[in-house]
Amino acid sequence: MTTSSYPEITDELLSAYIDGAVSDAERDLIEKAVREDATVAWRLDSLRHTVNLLRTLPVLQAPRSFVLTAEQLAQPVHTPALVPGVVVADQRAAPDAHPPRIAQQTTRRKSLLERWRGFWQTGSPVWRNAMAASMATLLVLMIAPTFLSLGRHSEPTAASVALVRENATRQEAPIASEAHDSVSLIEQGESSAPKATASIETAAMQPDSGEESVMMATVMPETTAPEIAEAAVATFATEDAFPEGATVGEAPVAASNLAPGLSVARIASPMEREGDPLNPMPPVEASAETGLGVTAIEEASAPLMAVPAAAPPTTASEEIIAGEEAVTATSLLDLSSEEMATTAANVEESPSGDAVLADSDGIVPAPERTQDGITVQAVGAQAVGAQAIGQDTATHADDVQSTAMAPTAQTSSEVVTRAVAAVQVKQWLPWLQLVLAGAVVLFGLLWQRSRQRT
Amino acid sequence: MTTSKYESKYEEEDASEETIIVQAVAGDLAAFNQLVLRYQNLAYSVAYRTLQENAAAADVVQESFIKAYRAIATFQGGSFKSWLIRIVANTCYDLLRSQQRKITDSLDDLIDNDEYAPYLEDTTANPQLHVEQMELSQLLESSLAALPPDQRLVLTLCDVHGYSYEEIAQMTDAPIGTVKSRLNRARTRVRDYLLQRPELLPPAFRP
Repeated sequence: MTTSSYPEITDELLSAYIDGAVSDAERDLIEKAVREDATVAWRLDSLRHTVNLLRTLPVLQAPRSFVLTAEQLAQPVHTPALVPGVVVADQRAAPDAHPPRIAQQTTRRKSLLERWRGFWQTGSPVWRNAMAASMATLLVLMIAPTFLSLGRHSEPTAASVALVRENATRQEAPIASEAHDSVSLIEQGESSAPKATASIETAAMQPDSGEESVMMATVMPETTAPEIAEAAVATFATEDAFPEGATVGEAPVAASNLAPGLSVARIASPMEREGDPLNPMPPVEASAETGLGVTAIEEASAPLMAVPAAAPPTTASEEIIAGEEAVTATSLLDLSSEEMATTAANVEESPSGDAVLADSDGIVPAPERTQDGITVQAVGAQAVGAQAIGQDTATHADDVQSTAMAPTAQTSSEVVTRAVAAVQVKQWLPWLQLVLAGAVVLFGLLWQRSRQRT
Repeated sequence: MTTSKYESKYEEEDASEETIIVQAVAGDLAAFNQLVLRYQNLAYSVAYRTLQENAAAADVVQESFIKAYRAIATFQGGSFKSWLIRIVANTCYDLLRSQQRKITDSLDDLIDNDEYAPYLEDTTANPQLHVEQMELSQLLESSLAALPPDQRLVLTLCDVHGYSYEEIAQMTDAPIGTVKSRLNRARTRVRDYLLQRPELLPPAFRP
């Protein structure tokens, strides 16, 4: 409400003037307006009388004492009914239905629960939720690396075993038992081969699948043919490497005797060994599904199979092949580096390692090699492990290197990328944890401050 | 002013009140009950003026003291009275908000309550004057009941209990400008309400 003479003098200003809450200038203006304008004067007087009447209202006396008791504090606070005459069930009378001790325990629990709820419900929910989110993220960042490291440690072993089993299952049924034995031997060999395991772990840090880890485990540029040959010969010196009844081609190889980064991938079955050229074994493509490195592994195991197994050959062809394999194994050691390089060059001319080993029919045309009067012929109709028998072991050894070189470019780049990413994550992870810890503290302080304000 | 009675009564005990508050913050229920006895009339008066009902005001006061005891650890000093009245006011608002009901007929309850006669202060007054005073008091109470809760609370704290704008701002958790605005509108409405019965008003009040 404003006056025509003094529109700036509002009822709010007059009310503040009554309470003495105006400035000196405003006071002078009001007093002047009161003197000069009757309307302003009446408005001021009416408001003043209203305030005076209101101030005559007494401060009411409490109808009863509101002193608190322990029982009242233990009970939950209930909302009173505003409508007159409405009976509200008194929750404070409910404990009569329970024994006193149980009621006390129940009330204590309820009071604790109420206090707990009250503690979390007070204050700003924004800061509270921010603090909780920061704390949860910090816990995840602290726990996740532990689980990731545990998973990576188990991957190489599982991958190797899975690869062996996969190759074993591709063979015919009778092979199953031998494959199982071979797997157990491989596991034993891997457990005793920290060097090989370490190299596998290093290469398998990033990949998630076991197959990839096996691929990278097999791709070791440092592996050379002589190393493979030495490992092969050393392995054949162990009788346990040859299960009873097994023939050439099915001898498992302990991983510890292989060059670092390599593991036995396939075990030939007796059926393979007995097979003739007219009944080719499964082509290399089947084992190539697990990676070219598998082929390299199998080729690397060729020298291992050159040593005769416990069971004597039953046929003449087997005798010849066994003898060839024996010569092949010994000749491997005699090969010079030049011969291996030459052989490797011949191999590199081939489009792929697989093409060298087998065609679509699984038959591998192998070159003949004469050494010490013994002709080493390739038995291309057999499986990959058997196919390698008869060929020049150096050639196969170089195949290992060459075929291993082919996928190296691709897998090594992936390995490097993942390794770099892992290093970066490891570098930034502590900083992230520190930042989140600071965020938890900051939001907690802000929430506590908001709680204190309420 | 009636509120000055409270102010003068407890001025001498401000120093001891700090000690009591410290003990209450430490969890001493007996110390807190001393504060209850000191401020329960004020709390009930504010609650009743806001809710305009005896039973609801008593429950709100009890609930407010329980809340105050449970939250005593968050009290960081200053005016305990303002802090307590804020709890009472918020509890009143919560109740009104939950009920979504405007109290307009509480005056009947006030009249029917034989135990409650706060305005019968002078029993030796002229009966006619007494009746006029009674009617005027009833008119005032009804004018208060007709106000919105927020204006009613501010008017009660300022004109009935004598608190300053700053104190009212703390109690209601509102800016001083809002307090001034609400107070002005409340006083204007009460004035207009009273002018409906000019025969009960003093001569100077009449237009």
